[in-house]
Amino acid sequence: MNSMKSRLVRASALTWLLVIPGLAGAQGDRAIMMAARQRQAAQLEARITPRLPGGLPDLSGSWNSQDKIWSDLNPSADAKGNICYTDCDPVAAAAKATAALNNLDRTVAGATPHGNFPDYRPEARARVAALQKDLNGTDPYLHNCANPGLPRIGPPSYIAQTPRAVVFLYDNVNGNYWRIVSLDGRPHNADADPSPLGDSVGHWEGDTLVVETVNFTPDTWLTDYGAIHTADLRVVERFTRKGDAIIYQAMAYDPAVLAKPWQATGHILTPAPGKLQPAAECIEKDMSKMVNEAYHPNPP
Amino acid sequence: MVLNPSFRPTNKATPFAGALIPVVCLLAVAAVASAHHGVDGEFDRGKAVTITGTISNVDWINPHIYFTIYVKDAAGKLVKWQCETVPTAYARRAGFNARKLMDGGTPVSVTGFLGRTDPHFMWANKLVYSDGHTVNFGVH
Repeated sequence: MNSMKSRLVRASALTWLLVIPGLAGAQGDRAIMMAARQRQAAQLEARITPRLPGGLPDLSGSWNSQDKIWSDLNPSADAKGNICYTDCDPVAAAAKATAALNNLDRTVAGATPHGNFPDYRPEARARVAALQKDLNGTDPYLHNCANPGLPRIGPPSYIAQTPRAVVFLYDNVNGNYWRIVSLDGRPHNADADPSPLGDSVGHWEGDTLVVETVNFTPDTWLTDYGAIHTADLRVVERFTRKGDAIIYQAMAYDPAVLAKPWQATGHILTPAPGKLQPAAECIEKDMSKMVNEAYHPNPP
Repeated sequence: MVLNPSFRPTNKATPFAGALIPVVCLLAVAAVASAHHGVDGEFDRGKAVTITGTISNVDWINPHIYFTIYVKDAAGKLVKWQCETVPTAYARRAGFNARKLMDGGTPVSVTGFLGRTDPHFMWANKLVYSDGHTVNFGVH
């Protein structure tokens, strides 16, 4: 209890430290929102971690990922049916709308990636730059209803855990995808065909499930903005359950093109209400109406 | 899934009836660097628009939900608008679905950005229904 209380106090202090200097602008509003999420996450993490017989954390269930761009932690309707997904404060929303207006990705000479992007070897950079000249046309995931690959697909929407395997189910904007991660010590399947989501085996390191995936097709991207990889890509994901939250991290290793391993943007997964539903049909309708090259990355 | 009941738009007066003219406004505030997401190739963020009408059908699909809404113009004639908005996976996080979006064909105000190629095409950020409840997808 004391550690939970001190966590909450720290989160509150962090909130005010962020709020006071930043009250004047959109950055301050974003900081307020992020601090609120951190408080919520801290509350969830402070709960007792559910465990299976034998002591391992139970990762099973439906999960929302804490996506910083798209949604608040767990949007839901109130008694009157009001729902706010994100940008619920009108002042912050107006500031964000203005910022968006002034930061459009109209690619003329190429779009600059926002945020977290892999560090490529010099010999690979020209290929990445060429892709960035026409992102809407070259992005294999966007406007194609195609499999995003790993780690671009992000964390799973549903986890089914047994002692011998963990199954990941995805409610992705492009469709329903799945992965089966063997936990019985078997090696990677050398006979498996390469695929966008590869071949996965896993093991536990304390309370963290570590998943290693290889055998990828090379035609996906690690993330937006032309983040190529080769068939020799190796991805290591880590799932750590703390209370009612799962901390998800993913590292991409591909020395043929990457100057150093790339850490994908992490996620905090929180319990999602309801049961995983089949993804709606994916039908691309945007490209025919686009009048400029403004890049439109899919939400994760 | 396409939700397309036998609803037919009528000329019956509603609390939202009347000459509803799309509002176009330009935002002119200092820029702040931040990441963004949006279908800017199709929609003009500088042209905010609000229309009010009744939704006649919903395409509950990915990557974007589409819905058709009939709006009365200044002459009282019903004009068909097409709206595009967030993915179904996103909308479903709050238990929202096609039935709740259509709300039985009751009047709804839709706010968002005007399409670049079609004057009756818009991106929907926010919905306000006739009983006052709102669905706010946020700024995308």
